[in-house]
Amino acid sequence: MSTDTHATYHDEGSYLSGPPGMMAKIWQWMTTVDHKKIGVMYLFAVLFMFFVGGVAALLVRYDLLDPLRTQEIINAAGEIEVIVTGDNLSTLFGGIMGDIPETQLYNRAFTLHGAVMVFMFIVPSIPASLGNFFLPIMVGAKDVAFPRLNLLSWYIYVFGALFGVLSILLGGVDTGWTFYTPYSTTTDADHWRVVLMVSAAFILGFSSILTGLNFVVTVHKLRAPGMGWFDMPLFIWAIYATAIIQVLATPVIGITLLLLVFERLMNIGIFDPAMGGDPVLYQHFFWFYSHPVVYVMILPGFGIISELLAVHSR
Amino acid sequence: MMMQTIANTQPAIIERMIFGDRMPGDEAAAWSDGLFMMILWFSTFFFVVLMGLMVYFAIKYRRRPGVAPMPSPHHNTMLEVFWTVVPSSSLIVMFVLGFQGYTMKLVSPQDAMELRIQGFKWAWVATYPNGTTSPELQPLSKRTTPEGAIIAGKEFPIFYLPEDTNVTLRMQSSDVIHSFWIPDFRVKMDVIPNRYTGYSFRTPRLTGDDVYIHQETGEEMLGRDMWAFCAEYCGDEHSRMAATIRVVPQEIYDQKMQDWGVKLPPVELGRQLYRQICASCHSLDGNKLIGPPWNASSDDDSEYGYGYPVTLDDGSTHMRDPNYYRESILDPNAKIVNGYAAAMASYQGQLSDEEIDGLIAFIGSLSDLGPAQGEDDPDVTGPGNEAADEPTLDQAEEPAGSDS
Repeated sequence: MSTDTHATYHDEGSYLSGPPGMMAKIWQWMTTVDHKKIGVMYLFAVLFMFFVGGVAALLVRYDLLDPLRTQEIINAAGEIEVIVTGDNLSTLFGGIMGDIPETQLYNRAFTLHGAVMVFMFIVPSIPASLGNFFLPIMVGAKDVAFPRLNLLSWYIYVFGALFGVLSILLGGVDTGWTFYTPYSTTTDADHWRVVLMVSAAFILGFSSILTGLNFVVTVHKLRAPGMGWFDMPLFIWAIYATAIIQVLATPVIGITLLLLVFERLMNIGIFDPAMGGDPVLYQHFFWFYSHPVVYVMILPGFGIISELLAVHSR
Repeated sequence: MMMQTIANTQPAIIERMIFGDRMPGDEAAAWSDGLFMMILWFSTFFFVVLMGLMVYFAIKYRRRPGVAPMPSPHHNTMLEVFWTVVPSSSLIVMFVLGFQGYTMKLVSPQDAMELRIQGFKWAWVATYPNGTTSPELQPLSKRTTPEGAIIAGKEFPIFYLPEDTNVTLRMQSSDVIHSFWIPDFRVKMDVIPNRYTGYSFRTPRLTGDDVYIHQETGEEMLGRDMWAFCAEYCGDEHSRMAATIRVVPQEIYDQKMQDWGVKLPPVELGRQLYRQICASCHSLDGNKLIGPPWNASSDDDSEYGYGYPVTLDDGSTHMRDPNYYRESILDPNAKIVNGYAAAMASYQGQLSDEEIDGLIAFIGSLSDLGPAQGEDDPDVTGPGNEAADEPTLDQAEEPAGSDS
C-alpha cells in the first residue's frame, strides 16, 4: 500500500497534487474560490499585520526604555546641570522624517499600534480566517454562498492593508487610533498621511461587510438538509451573530471615516464648531460602530470556547 | 459596603494598594472608591466561584478513553430564572449607586464658586470669579543647594482654591478635545471647543497633615496640593499638560485674589503669559523645543531674538519685529521658521491686544536689540505678589554653579 500511495503522490493525474510549477501554484492560490484556501490566505495576511502592530508596540516600549525627561546630571566640569534627555525614537527615525519631536514620534508609534491592531488584525482575524475555513464544513455546505465574493473580500483586505502600510511608510499618524476630531482634522498640514490611514480603515470595512454578508446567506440557505437552526454548532451561531453585526455596523464607520476625509480635504464643517458642526458628533458616529465591533472581536472566541468545552467533556 | 470617609480612617491595605496613600478629596470621591471596592469584591466572588467550578468540572468530566458521555442536562427553568435574576438585580444595584455618585459630581450646589477653566494645546488656564488668572507656577522639581536653586522639569500653573468650599468648573477648549482630570476627586470630563462642560467637587477641610513647601521661603505652609492632568490625547505635549490645584485656608485665598487683581506692566504681563501659555513650546535659553527659542543668542550662533533676522522654511529671511510677532501669534502658519514644523495653533480671539503687546514687550526685553524699556522697578506690583518677588526667569533658568 505504501508504494501505491507513494506512486500516486507524484502522479500528475491525482486531483490532490495540483498543477506543477511554482508560478502555476501561486496563480492557483491567487485565483482560488475555495473557502479553505481563502481562509489560509486571510490567516497569513492577518498574522503579518499582527507582526506590524507588534513592531509598533515594541517601538513604544523602546522609547519608554529611555523616556523624554528633564534630568539633573553631573557634567564634565563636576557641576550639577539640568539637561533634557531621552531621544530613542528620534535617533532611530529622526534622520528620515526631519525635525519631529520625540513626543510626536511616540504618539505616532502608539497610534500605529492601535490602528493596525484593531482595524487590520483583530476585527478581521477570527471571522475571516477560522470562519471562512470552518463555517461551510460545520454547516455541511460545499462552500460559502458567494465564493467569488469571498475572494474579492480577501483582495479588498489586502488593498486596505496596503493603504495602511503606505501611510506608515510616509511616517504614520499621531491622532490616536480613534481619530477624534478636531485633532485629526487639524493635525498634519499635509493631509495625505491621515487620509491614507483613514482610507485604509474605510476599505477594510468593505472586506468586513462582504464577508459578513457571505456568512449570513450561507447559514440561512446552505445548511445541510435536515439541519435546523438549533442543530447548528455553537461556533456557527457565534460566527452568524458576528456576521450580522459586521453587516449592520460597519457601514457606520465607513461613512464616518468618509466624512472625516471630506472634513479634512474640503472643510465641509460637519465636525467644526466654527462652522456650526460638532466634534462630539464624530465621537457618537465612531462609537456607534466601535461598541458593536468589540462584540465582533469576542463572539467568535466565545464560540470557540463553547466548542472546546463541549467536545472535550464527557 | 466599605465606604471611605474623609475622617481619619486608615484605609485598608488593599485600598492603599489600589488607590495609593492619597485619601479621596471629597465625599463624592469616597463614594466612587466605595463603589469600586464593592464591584471588586463582587467580581472576585463570582470569578472564584465560576472559575473554580469550571476547572473542577473540566477535570471531573474530561474525556477519558472508555468512559461514555453522560446525558446532557435538560432545560431547567429554576436554574435559568436564578441566573437571570441574580445578575440583573446586582447590575441594577450597581447602576443606581453609580448614578447617584455621578449626580453628586455633575450637579453643582447653588452656592458653589465657579472656576472657569480654559484648555488649549498644551496648558490649562483658570480664571477666578473676579476675573483674575493665577500667575503662579511651580516647576516639577526644585532643589536648593549651597550654589543656588536647581530647577528641573516643566513649570505647571498653581490654581488656588479655598478649603471646605463647593467649587464648580465651567470648562472650554480653544482647539481640540482635552479632558480635565483631578485624580484626588476621582473625576474627569472632556473639554470641547463648542460648548461648556463641567463638574463640581468640594475642597477638603485642611488638617494638620496637609502641608506644602513654599517655593521661595522653603517653609511648610498649610495647604494641600493635588494634580490635575489632561486626560484626552491632544498632541505632542499632551502628557505634560498638567496643573497643580492647591487648597489653602480662606484667608490666604482671599489675599491672593486681592493681590492678583493689580494691573501688571507690559513686560510683566508678557512674562506671566509666557509662563502660562508659551513655555511648553518656546525656550528662553536656546534649547530647540517644538518652537524656536526667544532669546537673543544661542549656542549655534544663529540669533533668535527680537531685532535679529529670521530664516524661514522657504529660504527667505524676515526681520523679527513687532508685526512679525503679532502675525506669529494670530496666524502662525503664515511664516514657518526653518527647521521647525507648522505646529502652532492660532491665538486669534484668545489674546487681547493688550496681552499681545505684553508678549512683544517681554520678547523685546530678552534681546539686546529690543526696544528701550522704562525704569526697571522690580517691585511695581503690590506687596505679597509672588510673581514679582520670585527671581526672573533668566536667573532661574541658569544652572547652579555658573556665573549669574
